[in-house]
Amino acid sequence: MKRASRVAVMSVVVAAWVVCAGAAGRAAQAPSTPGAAAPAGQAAQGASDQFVPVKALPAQPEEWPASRLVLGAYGFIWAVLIVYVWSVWRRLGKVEEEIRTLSARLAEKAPRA
Amino acid sequence: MKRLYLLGVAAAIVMFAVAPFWIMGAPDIDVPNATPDVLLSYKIFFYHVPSAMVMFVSAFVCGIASAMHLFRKKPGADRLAAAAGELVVVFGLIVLVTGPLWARKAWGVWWQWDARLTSTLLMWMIFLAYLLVRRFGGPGADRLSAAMAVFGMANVPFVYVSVNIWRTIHPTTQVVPSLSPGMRGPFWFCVLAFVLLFSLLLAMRARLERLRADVEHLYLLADEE
Repeated sequence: MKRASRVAVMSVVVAAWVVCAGAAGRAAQAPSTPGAAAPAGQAAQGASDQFVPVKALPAQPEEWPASRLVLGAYGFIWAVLIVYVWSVWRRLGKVEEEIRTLSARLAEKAPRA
Repeated sequence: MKRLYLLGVAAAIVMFAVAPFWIMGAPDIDVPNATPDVLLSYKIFFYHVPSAMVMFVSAFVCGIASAMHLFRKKPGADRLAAAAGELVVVFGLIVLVTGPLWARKAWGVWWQWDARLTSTLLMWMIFLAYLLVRRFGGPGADRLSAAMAVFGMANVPFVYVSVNIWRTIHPTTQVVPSLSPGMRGPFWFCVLAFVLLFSLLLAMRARLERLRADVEHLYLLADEE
């Protein structure tokens, strides 16, 4: 397979992964939106410069649902592995091309010698 | 040989496609008072720990091959070390990113300067430096970087036992032996998948080093003529 084709195949795989991960992420986020974080103004009003016991603090909505973290971890692993395989594949392609060029150059010189 | 490699690739793809379903069906870890959200975050464990195991294996391969290159001057060993060194950095990156994603839910923080996390980061940086020295070190960089890899490998046992010696926030090495029977199956399946993936990537990357050596040889031949 030519290098351009390899790059095209890898680009399609990465793009498909990004689309799937994005859709899954949105699906995972959807149930948590009703209890979203309070606006910044309200948070500022609620701030205190005095000691407040931990038990007296108002319950904070969780800004990082586990589903998003799990998807992020698994997605990151896939992304790293795909990019790494693509990088080695590209480097292999370059070296193989260099070998072909050098071998051809040597074969050209050989009959003259 | 090529057929065996392709068989390995097919097996790895199937294993990584099956693993998430098995992981999601595995029973939750036994943590008192844990919310469903926290229990879900434990699913990261099934990829985080095998990545760390493979990182350690890769560091040993790199260190032993580097020692062979240093003391027995074997070019083949140096090429294997270069391939394994790169994989330490790749799998180390996975460990260092998935760990904080899990920690954010399990501990409430992204990062803690505890013994395991700090020593893992240091080990990862040693192997990153190994790759940089190889790439930009100039003449003699292969031997200098080989010495670095031996030190990097010597770090592995310290990273492993750090959680037992300095008791902080990271779980000890007793977590894996004490897994419930329902979790053991998917966990060791994931370990096998990661070991297979590591073997395939190592073979692919070592082939690149071998071809690079061939290119250098061809350049020498071209210069002679």
